[in-house]
Amino acid sequence: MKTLDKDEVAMMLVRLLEAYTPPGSEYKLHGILRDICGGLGFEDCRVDGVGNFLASYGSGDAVILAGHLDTIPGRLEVSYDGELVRGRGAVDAKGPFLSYILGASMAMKHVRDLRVVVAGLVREELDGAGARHLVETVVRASHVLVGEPTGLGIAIAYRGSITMEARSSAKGGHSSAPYIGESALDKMLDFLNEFRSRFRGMGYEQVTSAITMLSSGDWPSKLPEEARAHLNLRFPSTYTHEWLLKDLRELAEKHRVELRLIDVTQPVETSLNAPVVRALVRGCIRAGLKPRIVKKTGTSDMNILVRLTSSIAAFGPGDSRLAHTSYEAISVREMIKAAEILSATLRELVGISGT
Amino acid sequence: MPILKCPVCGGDVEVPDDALPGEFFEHDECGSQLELEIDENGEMRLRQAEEISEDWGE
Repeated sequence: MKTLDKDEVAMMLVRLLEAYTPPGSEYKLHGILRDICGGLGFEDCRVDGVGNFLASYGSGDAVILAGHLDTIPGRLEVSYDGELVRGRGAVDAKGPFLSYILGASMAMKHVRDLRVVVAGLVREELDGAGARHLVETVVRASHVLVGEPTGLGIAIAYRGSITMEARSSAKGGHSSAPYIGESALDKMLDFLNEFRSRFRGMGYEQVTSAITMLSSGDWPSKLPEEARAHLNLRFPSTYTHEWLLKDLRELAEKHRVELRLIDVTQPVETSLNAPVVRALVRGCIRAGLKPRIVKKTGTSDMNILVRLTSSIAAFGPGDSRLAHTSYEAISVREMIKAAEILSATLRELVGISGT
Repeated sequence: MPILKCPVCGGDVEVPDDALPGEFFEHDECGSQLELEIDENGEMRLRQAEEISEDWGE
């Protein structure tokens, strides 16, 4: 494909969005992607053991362009108004993934010294199972690009995440005489208040906390005997999860609350000197865009895929503020610009990989 | 490869021959994030890059 037609690109995205794919139903995209990638000249299209879709061409150092096929649950009407495509996953992240497919296709004739693999991963929104499987099965990758909505910024860092469940229990009592009873909810709230004041960061460089679930009580006049909460901490690479867990456990012990660890995702931060970051910067400049470096407050498959290579960055079209909202929409022009930058980036990687 | 001065610590920074104006480099010695400028005479120099911005989201 030499030039990209706006309406043609929009219709490709509409096809991808019309297949509603919350985690577990990504298979609905396999046939559509085979059709699109086959038509664009990819040499090999296949589905791996967990349902990741892989389209590739070329031989040599492997470059993986990874996106994800799943979206958060919640159907949205799919539409195209000549500029914007709307629908669940338009921003996060079928739009960015389609830009990766198109960018790889545009570079096809110029990068025969690389093996370019476009990977549509499963369950990014759930547990990262697709990315974990890729890390376990791919022998080696020289560079990885992660397709997420960065507004064409180059994301070199994502924070880490700790998710825990907290439980408290107490003997209970009558609400008419709380001073002689004991409330599990009171214990939990004391713990949560101190938790919130200890991790009250306000940006990327600080530890931030959120209480995402809280449940307790079963009768209006009864002091609760049980309370349960889910907690989430986000932290940059200047902190370790061991230090934070130690702090959390000491706090829980002080308030006689039990903690259960649900998930730890390590932070990731790559260097401006990483080859793929340099290639993206040069790709932006070649495409007439001033490069912009960003750090992301959340997590993505980049936190997992960094195990493949330190030459990794996230990049894509779309406004991340629209992700996970009912207003997901993406500009087709921005998607085409992203594809041009990705094509230029792959060409830059030929030179960088060859040195 | 041209060797330029780091505007932050004064140390040496090696820049590839094919570097483009607007490219970023991280100085290994002091960790500064630098941007390459090339003037009308083709002279290269480094300046401190704009602060990396923060972006919400997963």
